Amino acid sequence: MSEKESTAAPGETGRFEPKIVAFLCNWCSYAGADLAGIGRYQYPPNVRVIRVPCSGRVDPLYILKALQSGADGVLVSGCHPGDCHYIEGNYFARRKFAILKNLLVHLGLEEDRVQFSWVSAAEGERFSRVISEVTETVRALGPAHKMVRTLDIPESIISELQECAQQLGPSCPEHSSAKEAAT
Amino acid sequence: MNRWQDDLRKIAARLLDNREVALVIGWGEGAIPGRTIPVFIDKPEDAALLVVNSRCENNLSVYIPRMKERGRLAIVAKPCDLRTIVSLIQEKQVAREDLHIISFACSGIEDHATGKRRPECVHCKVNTPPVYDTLIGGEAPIWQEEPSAVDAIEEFKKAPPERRWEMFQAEMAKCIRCYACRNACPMCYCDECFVERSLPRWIGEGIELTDTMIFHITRALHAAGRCGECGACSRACPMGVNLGILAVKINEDIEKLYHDKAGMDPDKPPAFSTFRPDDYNDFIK
Repeated sequence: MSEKESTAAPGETGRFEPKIVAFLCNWCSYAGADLAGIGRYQYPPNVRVIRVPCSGRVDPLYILKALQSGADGVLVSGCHPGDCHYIEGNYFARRKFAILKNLLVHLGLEEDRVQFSWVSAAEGERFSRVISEVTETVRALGPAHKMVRTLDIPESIISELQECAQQLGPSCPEHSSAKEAAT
Repeated sequence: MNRWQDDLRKIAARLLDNREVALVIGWGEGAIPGRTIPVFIDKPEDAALLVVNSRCENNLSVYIPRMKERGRLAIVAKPCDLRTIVSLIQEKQVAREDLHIISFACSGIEDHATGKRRPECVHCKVNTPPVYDTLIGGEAPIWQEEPSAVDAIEEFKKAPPERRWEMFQAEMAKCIRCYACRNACPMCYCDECFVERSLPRWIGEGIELTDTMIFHITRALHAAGRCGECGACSRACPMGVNLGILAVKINEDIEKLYHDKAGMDPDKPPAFSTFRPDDYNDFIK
């Protein structure tokens, strides 16, 4: 739970700053992100970029795993239809993602948690716009709680562990500083 | 139904006698009254063990990939089982000519707990076999009993998103991760399943709720476009998890978006092995 709270920690402006995992295809969207940098287009620093060879390389399992690991949003971005470096990778990807997205919405997940876009290597400005849009929509949803893995340790066990730590504290070299603090 | 059974036994004995097939995979009476078990017949005299009735719940095509080394196989299959056989043929797991398919018109499988027709059978739209070599019996017997009024999947679809998530969570919480669903599924023939991979280890072995969700969603997606909607996964589940809430939605979407129905035509590629440049694109920015 504590990790979740840190995710929800407000940024400088006091707003919720979502963590967004972006899977970008090497040939288009990643290069588009580069171009956004070269062109000095500003975009929110909420995305964590993972470079993949092709949007077709993105297994739906990656998306689910990102959500489980605490991502508030996931973006997958690839080449525009017809522009795939591998000719047809993004066409196969599109079929997979349509089914995945519909399924997640059907199960009750918020629609904007998982998003998809096509951004070419020439669209630096568009890349910054897409990231801003995705960040804003995910921010509006608030921190993710569905599908996020949390460690639910019962209070009784926590207090027992604390007690043990207190008793063992002095004999444990790692806790000697704690001992000093206590005395 | 008795006449169907006699026909089946005669056909099986003849196929084995003529050495047309090495093995007949069918159903036989189980040790528990009212339950059937898979039987593997390789001698004509054993053909008398075969049965056909509304309790033949296993999808026997699950045995095709591991039995094909025995030679040409004859398999008794319900129309829904046939759809998974067609998917196996499409995926080159077995050659059409190495199978002798014995099928029949089906009116549904009975739930051994309630005696009523299984929910997946109530929704079944493929009750006559799409492909076969031998057809036994005649028209499907009319199911006498009315199905129960509560349709869990329809109810799920109508619920608001938050409620759907709660219902999904409740279904997933039942799961003990025994993988019976995966083992009963003819489309889950991978030698190494992603749940058992250790590098990377995608999900833990326990029954942590999000791990269970990832397992079921991913399994449903792996079966997407290949699932014959036979319901073997739900019937195999010892905890009564309603896996239909995943499979039915995916199958509906594939039919709506890609105009494809898995396992109907052996010469057509499965939905995810093909594409159209003008596929549904509205969900992408």
